[in-house]
Amino acid sequence: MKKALALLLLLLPLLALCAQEARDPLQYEIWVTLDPAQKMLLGRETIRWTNTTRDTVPDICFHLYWNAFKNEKSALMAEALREEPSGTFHGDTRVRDGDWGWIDVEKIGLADGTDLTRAMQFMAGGDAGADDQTVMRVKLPAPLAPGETVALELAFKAKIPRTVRRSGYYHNGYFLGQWFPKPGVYEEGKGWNCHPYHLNSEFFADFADFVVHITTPREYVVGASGRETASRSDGARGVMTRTFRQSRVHDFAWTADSDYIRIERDFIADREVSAQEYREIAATLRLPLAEVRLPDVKMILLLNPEHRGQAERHFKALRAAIKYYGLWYGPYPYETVTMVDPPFRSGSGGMEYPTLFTAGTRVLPSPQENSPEMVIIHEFGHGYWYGLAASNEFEEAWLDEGLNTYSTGKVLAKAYGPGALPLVVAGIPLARYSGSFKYADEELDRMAAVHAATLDPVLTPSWRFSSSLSYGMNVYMRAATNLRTLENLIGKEAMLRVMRAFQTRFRFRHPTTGDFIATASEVSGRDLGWFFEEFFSGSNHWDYSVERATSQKSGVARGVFDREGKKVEVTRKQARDQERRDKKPVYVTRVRVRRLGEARPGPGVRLKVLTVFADGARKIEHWDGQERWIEFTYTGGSKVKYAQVDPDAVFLIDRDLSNNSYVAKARPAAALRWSGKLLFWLQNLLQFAASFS
Amino acid sequence: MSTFTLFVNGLGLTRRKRSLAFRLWAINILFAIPLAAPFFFLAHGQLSHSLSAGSVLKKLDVNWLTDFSSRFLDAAPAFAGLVVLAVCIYLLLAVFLNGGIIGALNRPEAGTTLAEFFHDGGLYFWRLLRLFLLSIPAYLLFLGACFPVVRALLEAVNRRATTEWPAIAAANARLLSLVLLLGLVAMFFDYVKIGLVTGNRSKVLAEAWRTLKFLKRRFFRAWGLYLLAGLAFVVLTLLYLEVARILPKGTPMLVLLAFLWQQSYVLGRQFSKVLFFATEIEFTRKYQGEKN
Repeated sequence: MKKALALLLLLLPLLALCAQEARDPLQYEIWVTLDPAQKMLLGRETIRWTNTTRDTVPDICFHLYWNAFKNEKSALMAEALREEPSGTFHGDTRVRDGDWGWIDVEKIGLADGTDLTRAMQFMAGGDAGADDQTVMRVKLPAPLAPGETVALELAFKAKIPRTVRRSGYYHNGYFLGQWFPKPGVYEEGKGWNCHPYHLNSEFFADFADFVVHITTPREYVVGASGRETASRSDGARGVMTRTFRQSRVHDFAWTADSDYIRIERDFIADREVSAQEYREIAATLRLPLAEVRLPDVKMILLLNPEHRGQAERHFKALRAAIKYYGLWYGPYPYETVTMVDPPFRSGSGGMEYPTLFTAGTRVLPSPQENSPEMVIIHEFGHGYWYGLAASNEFEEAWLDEGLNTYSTGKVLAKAYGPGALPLVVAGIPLARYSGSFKYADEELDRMAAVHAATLDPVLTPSWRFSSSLSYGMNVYMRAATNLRTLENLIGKEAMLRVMRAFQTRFRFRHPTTGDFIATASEVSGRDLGWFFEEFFSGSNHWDYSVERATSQKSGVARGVFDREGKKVEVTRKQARDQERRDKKPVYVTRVRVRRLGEARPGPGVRLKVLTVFADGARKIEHWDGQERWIEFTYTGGSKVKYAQVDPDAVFLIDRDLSNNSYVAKARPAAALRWSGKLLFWLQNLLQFAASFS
Repeated sequence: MSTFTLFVNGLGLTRRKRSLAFRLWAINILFAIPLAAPFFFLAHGQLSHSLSAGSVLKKLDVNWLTDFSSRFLDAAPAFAGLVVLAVCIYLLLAVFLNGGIIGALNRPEAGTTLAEFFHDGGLYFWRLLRLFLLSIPAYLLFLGACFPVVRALLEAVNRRATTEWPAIAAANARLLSLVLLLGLVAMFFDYVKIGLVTGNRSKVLAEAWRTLKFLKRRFFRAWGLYLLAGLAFVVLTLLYLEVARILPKGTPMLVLLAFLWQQSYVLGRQFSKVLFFATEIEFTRKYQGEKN
């Protein structure tokens, strides 16, 4: 028995390795040299790809993302030009002469020396247009059987663009994302999922082990995905080669700038999280205490010298992110996280990569704003929703952006609370004067959600949204607002369990919307299919209102009545006299609730309608919300004070929350306040105009 | 007599003719009320019977902004068009009022009746309107020719910037140069207006030429005085902002208090407008006897 146990223990690491091999079909080793003079990357890449499916695979498809910056015929550039010829919104896609970027695979072959360079072909056509060169197919000499591995060797060179879509350079600062030839994801029974680089989409790739050797001029400070494991200086050439390694990630980004200040801090879990917090979250999630414990994490900050004074502000936000994402959605599984304050004008701020993200701040920050905190929390959070539960951002972007916008709002609210409106004129923050206008993320998200509801369904493939604005507002804000509505519907704790279950079940996998719906339904114990059908697949407004809530004194009815076999007429005067004699008047209250939008609740869901009377009495009704309207009638000794549909504001996605209630007594003060303010601004505008008279 | 003394004299003249500012404020608010009224009726219709009113009274409620914009966003272009039209009409009204202001400041007696004010407005209206029409190409010339040169120079600095500070400095310099250039043109035309009214002359081009010669020899003194009046306006604005920032809100009485403070600022702006003219009149009086 003991021997068997010992054998099992010996075999365990091997079994774990095999299991990982089965899960992660890719290994990369890349050697890349930055040539600052020519703005070039020169690289070699060894890729081992294992066919983990039951299909026989005849080819391999690669993303060559930087060819999107090659000319105006690429899918990305053509879509930007088509959507907005002026280039105001997509300014970074308006490349100046000499600043184009591209990537060439100079050579590709098998490890045994078989040259496949002639077998390369660009996969254009369809949505991408005929001239796009961002996807390349290489036909293998022999189809790859299930379980077989192919080792490929590539040589490539890439011209670094003046930053487009967050990749590129400005002056001596470089940010390099999506920079190497990267295979798509092979899906069993479907083939390669390898979309062209579109204007409105991010990325999708397989988990892999990376070893990357980066050579730059010696004076450059370099940051990259993973951890630095070796460095070698070549004094004669004035260069330094650093080696970075990271397992179980699906991308690798790096940055180099001679001006960066590198600062390290540790996230020490026992200092950040109290025993009480562990106990509470374990109880909420119904998990053993050991499963919610967080590991320590090395935090690395690459900061612009101008922002030196903001280092601790950055670390404080990152600590909050590691803590709450970790407690709520599962421990951060990597040893390091690198936070980059990107080089000036590199245009690389606010982007996520595995174990590395870019934030961005100003030289004159405002203490009242949640900036750069919001972006730090958000980009770190992507590490969970794009990094770990690695959905297909081309096809279902909300699974990353929506889940993460929802999560960011929760962490921000917990750690910081509402922030002031970022108001900056010529680089000078004016939050001192806009500071009273504070907002929570969820409020701004709702604004976008309401305006985006009828533009497109959330579940639209990224490149098929009607505009970039619709893409952004739907997959970020509307999806987040829908999730907050879901949270209100099933309860905060159940929602937390849903998110945790989704994250832990699909870590290092590629979940779909179907997986999320199944997880949410299973964990909450409710069939939520209707919810996703209405709010994610649909594009209708949800709008319920209380049309009126009125009380009328119950009068004595006039007319002719049959009493004791006789016809008796009650006259107007008799009725009035009778009413006057009544010491305790009776009121008939009518509350009419109306459905103004096309969206409606699913089976079993009822809308709450609350009516409050002047004497404090409350009546609660429940309505299935299917018809256009419903009226509730009450008879009693007190007049109605107000009536409200959905008084708990469950449906945050409601187009107009102000019409959810009807107060019997009109109050003009609020309208007067903001009309007075508008009057003031109009007076000032007129006065300004008059100065030119 | 120093520039500062002239500024103090201008302040004294403004104080003596303070009824002017009150009249300008009254006209300004009466003109603006019909513009703001549609908003009031929309907001009143939406909020007066809603529980949301409580939150909207306390703060700029983002949820209410969402509700309001989702209902009435389609009306925004019509409202913007109305505002543009109103601004154009107000410009003409301001031309009329300029005659009243300068006429009143030029009268030796302390008080000016409303009838005299409007009489002066009417009397000088056509010559000031011709001047206003003449000023439009001048403004366009400065905005279209001089400012782009300054902007191009600053843009060169901005383009070469490798850190944030030069970029911020360039952006602020651009903003400042725009304000100063506009101020320069406005000052010149103020002196032409003053010449047309105080000299009771009607030939606009001749007066513009005369003013050009007048200012040529005293440019920096006139410019200094103008900037002092401008500084008074900046101080007034900062005072307004600082007090508005700390004023509590949330009850009808506090809303009324905030409204009164806002109107005090608008009144202050009218005083500031009169002050510009008053200091320029003082300047003209001091130097008009001198040889150009």
